[in-house]
Amino acid sequence: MTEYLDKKNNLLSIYFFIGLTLILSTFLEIYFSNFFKFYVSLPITLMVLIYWNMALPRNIGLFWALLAGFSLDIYQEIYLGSHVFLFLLVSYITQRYFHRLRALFTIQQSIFVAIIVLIYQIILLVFFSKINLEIIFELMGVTILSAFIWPIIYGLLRTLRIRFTYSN
Amino acid sequence: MFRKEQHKQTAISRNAIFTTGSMRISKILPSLVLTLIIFLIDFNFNIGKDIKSLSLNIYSPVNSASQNIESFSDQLYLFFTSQNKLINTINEQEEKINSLNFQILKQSQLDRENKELLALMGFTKNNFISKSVAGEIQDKKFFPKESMSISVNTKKISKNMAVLNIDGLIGVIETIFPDKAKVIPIYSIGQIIPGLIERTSQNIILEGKGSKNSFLIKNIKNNSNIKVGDKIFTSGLGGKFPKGYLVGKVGKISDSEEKANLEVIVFSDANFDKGTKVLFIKP
Repeated sequence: MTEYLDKKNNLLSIYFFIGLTLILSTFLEIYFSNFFKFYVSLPITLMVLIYWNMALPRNIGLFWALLAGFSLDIYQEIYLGSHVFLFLLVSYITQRYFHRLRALFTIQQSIFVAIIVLIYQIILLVFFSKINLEIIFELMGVTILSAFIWPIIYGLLRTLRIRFTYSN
Repeated sequence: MFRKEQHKQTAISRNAIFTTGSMRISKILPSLVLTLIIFLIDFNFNIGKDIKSLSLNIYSPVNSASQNIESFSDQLYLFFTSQNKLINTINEQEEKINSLNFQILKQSQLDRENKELLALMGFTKNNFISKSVAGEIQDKKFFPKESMSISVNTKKISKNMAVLNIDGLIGVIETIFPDKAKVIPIYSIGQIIPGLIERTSQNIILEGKGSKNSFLIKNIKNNSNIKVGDKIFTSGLGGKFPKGYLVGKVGKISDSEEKANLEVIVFSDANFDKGTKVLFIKP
């Protein structure tokens, strides 16, 4: 019923293109967390994952979510599978309701992303870090920042996807 | 046409709200189980440690890149504010240097005082001293009216005590005040010191001439065995100056056949105004 929403393209290429953007976003996330040295990092990977789950739910697969999640687990030195578990859940929710998410206005999508980011960070902090006042401020900051960054990520990846899809 | 497209979009949106994707929990279940297994293995056996260290090595260029960029930005910042920082650093360093110089001065002063005290303590080991009291120089007056004000426990000293500094015997007490003593040089006019020529063991009497660091030997016969350079020590006679302290060396002998006595001048090497501490001694 919804097949018309997904453009026909070179499946293998788009698959690796998604992987590439996820890996790049993981590197970016690591880089920013190194640079700013906050307790809470800006979850760029998660946002990119949400985008691809919304935009091309058939193509994304779970392999890249696993890879990106394990990479972040390794970098943040927390138990293997922590990020992966959250990424899988987020992928599930996003893919389950991607029609509805696509139909939302950008501002509504930003709020959705901010809520996901907040829950994701809270789970990570509760299980793998200490909660203090400073972290709560950072958490709020990162959540709001994510909401503002979402349209940029959305626009950028959308442009890239359209160019990539139509060039094929 | 516009209305038709608008209608289509609205319809899509309306449908979308009530549409769920094809994703079912069964699709992610294998991945979730696998993740959970990996999580539990890592939790229980910490097998991820090696993978983590290996992977951190792989990630190290990313880490170092961010650190390099950070250091570059620091250097950039330093470049634009280098002059300011340099001036501040120079000022700080100058302050440190001044403070260190002051400490060095203080240290060398302390060192000198310690040496002085050690030397004075050495004097007290002389068997001919029955009492010794240390004092600190407060004030000095220079030649021709040389004198020193010495801060000392005046209850422990008496007027017939001699005064030593690091060089040896230098003076006598002229006046004792409630909290200090005035000391004049041993070569002051009228000071009499019983001495002994080291080479011949001949007892002599030295008298202060009032000239700096010089004495006159009183009543020494023309035929006396005395030479320029002979060392003169205190003899201990008279009970004022303890025996065995160097007073000076014979510097000049005036021989005159018309006179029965020689005129012998003794020069002392002791510096009356040297140092910061003195020792009052009593034979």
